[in-house]
Amino acid sequence: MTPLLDALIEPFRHAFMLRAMGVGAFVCAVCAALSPFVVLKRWSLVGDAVSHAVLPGIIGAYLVGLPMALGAVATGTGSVLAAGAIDRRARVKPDAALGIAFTGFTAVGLILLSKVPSDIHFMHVIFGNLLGVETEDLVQAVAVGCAVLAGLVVFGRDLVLVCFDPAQARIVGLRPDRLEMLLLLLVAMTAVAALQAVGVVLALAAMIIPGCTGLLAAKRFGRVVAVSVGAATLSAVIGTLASFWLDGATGPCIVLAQAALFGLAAALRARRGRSRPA
Amino acid sequence: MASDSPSIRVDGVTVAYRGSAPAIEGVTFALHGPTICALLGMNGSGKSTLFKAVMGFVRPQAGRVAIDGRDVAWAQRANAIAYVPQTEEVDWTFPVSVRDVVTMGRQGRMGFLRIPSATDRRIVADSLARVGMAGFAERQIGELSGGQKKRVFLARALAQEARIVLLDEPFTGVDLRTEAAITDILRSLRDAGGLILVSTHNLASVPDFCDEAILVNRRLVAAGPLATAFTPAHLDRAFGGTVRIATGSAGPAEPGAALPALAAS
Amino acid sequence: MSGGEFLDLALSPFTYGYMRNAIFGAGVVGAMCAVLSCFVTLRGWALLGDALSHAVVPGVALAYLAGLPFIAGAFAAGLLAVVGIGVVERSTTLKGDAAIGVVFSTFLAAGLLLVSLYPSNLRLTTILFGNLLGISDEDLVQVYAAGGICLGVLLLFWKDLLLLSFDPAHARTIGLRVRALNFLLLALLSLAAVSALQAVGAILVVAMLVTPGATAYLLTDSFRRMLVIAPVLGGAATMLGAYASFFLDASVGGCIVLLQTAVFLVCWLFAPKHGLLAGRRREAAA
Repeated sequence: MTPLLDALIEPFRHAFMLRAMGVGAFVCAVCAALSPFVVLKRWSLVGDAVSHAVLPGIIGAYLVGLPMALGAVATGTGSVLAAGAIDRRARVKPDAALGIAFTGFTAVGLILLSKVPSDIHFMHVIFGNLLGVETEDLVQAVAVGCAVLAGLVVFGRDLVLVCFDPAQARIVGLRPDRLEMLLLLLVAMTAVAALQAVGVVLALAAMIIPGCTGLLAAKRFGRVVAVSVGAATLSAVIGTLASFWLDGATGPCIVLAQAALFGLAAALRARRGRSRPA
Repeated sequence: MASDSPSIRVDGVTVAYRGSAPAIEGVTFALHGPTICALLGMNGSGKSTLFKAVMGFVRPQAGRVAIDGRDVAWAQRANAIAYVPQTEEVDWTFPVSVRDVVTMGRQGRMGFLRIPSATDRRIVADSLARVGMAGFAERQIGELSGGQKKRVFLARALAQEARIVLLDEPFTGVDLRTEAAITDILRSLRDAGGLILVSTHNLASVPDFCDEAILVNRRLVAAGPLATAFTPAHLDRAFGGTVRIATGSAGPAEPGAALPALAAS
Repeated sequence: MSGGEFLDLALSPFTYGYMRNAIFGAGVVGAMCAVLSCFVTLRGWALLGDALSHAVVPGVALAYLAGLPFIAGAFAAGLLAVVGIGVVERSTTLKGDAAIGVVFSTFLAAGLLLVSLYPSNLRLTTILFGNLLGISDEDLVQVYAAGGICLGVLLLFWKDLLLLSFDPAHARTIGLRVRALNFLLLALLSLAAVSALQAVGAILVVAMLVTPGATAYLLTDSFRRMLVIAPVLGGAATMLGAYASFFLDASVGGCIVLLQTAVFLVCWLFAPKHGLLAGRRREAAA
């Protein structure tokens, strides 16, 4: 019994593990708070586009000595705005326009990456580096995350209305176009925060899966957000621990924990549906 | 007409979507409350484009729209128009309750954080009671019947306390009881001075509760009191001869008179 | 620089065996993906293409670990993901794009975890960014085989697939097997995705599956011509990208995709009928 207990307690003895779990839980909670909006707006592809298109901004900002978050938000939202211009003015469907725009941005990012000497830092951006997160990155992630949460507190109700019924939003004097821009900005900022935990490649997962879990488990928006945040926080802790025990990459472990909770919610819902036919 | 009565003035309005022929062309009419006006026309006749122009969702290529004598941007800021959408356009799986939806009618009038005040909550409760849905406030909106869904969106329009209400096909797929309940509420809104514009396919019910009618077929066919606008000749022109109904008078249809509910396509 | 020196310099990449492999391999991959991209853009399947290109990753990882051809693993994982998306869509109220997002990011996470657990067999950067310059002869044979299968099947079925893309209801009424054809198209996409993975990496595969088709659609109104223009442009851009990366000493995948984007932008500007400038001329004339 004791060896097993030791193995369970072991990760909590390391300061870097506690720090990783804390940062991971916070960052994933921020992603999860935004997640229901992304899912209900049907912005999966937008989320993917933004989280990849931050790459050239991060490297570009590093090269000219600006904060990385600034460059990331600029190119992340820029890719979606470029897609919007293509969609409006060329005979291309919106999804294809997004695909063209964000891969173009990402390609620039990869070329820059291959030209920057000592790319170790940027590999962390691509895969996430929760176990070795540096203080400067941590501060940036927490600051950006807090800004996203503040944005959601202030504009959350308006964003819900815009997702649910843009016509009604407009008719009561809201500006759906501006609110969509705001949501895009929040997605880009969330992607910046998510990089620390899961990296560019899996940022979309952190922005999509918890919201889907929440939508399966609850029928009121407030509860959907609560379930989403709860599931993501739990997954961050479980995933970080699992990566310690398995000696595998942290980001994928967190995402797989989120996927497991999603599967659980789907199974519970299917069962409830069978036992209580509508 | 008293200057404080609600009004819609559409003056020579043409709307064309990019790369296609105009959806409506040179449409002119004026409405003043209190009135209930039916907006009639086939699918593709420009009814929904006309709605969008009145609500300020599309910018006309020519002509102008005035709400209460001012422009549509003012109307949006002032919450001057309430809108009841077609139920097909709503995402019924969305995680909001009946109360949440009706509260959305108040959202333009709430403070910075959009937290409903005691007054907002009372108005929402009153609106729900008025459409007979007070007992369903905590239901998720997908868990309602077709008629109940319509009532909820009507309650949202009531909660907005706008003097102008636009309804898009409110009677499709509802039972007779709900239809009667909806028309009762529309009448009471009119009697309180409101301006109600209802697009509908159901010609049979028009004489029953409407005061005026507007008929469109891309261009305006007729607009005015039922006696002059809602005539067989005008209906013929609006619906391309697909309707044959005896509407000799503008009086209410006899109960059970088998006027065909029109399914023009 | 004299003409002869310039020619020597321009041809210098071809003196290296690995560059010849890279350039011609890239051409095949580019053309194969470009043909499929015609269907992807017209059907609004960009997200699905993105999804498949990520979902094949665990299959590739497992195949390498088990010593099997990577194409077999990728194929299996791609089809499993499609089935998974279908299950999530049917058994929950989630919309299509959310179901796709959940399933493919889960697959990608599983693949990346596998790679991190067995780092010696397979490098993460190979999967995510491609490794065209280090492509083995064995892998190259698989890429050529995939390209051959893909083009052959498309030659046989393109008319049915076109009808299916344009009007699924009509396709059903005239007795086409809609489910089987959709499955066929998804299977081809998996094949193309895994080949493109070699060239540009999982992150950028979707560009190969979207951009050439969208470019061709700007240039012509005929689907038949799209099927010719897209692979010519896509294949040329891919080969040229690989060639340019030799001189720029930069990411091959990045060069290839950036060139694809540049071709799109040029066509968007100058296309005779659907280009920006043509539109402006029409407005000025009107």
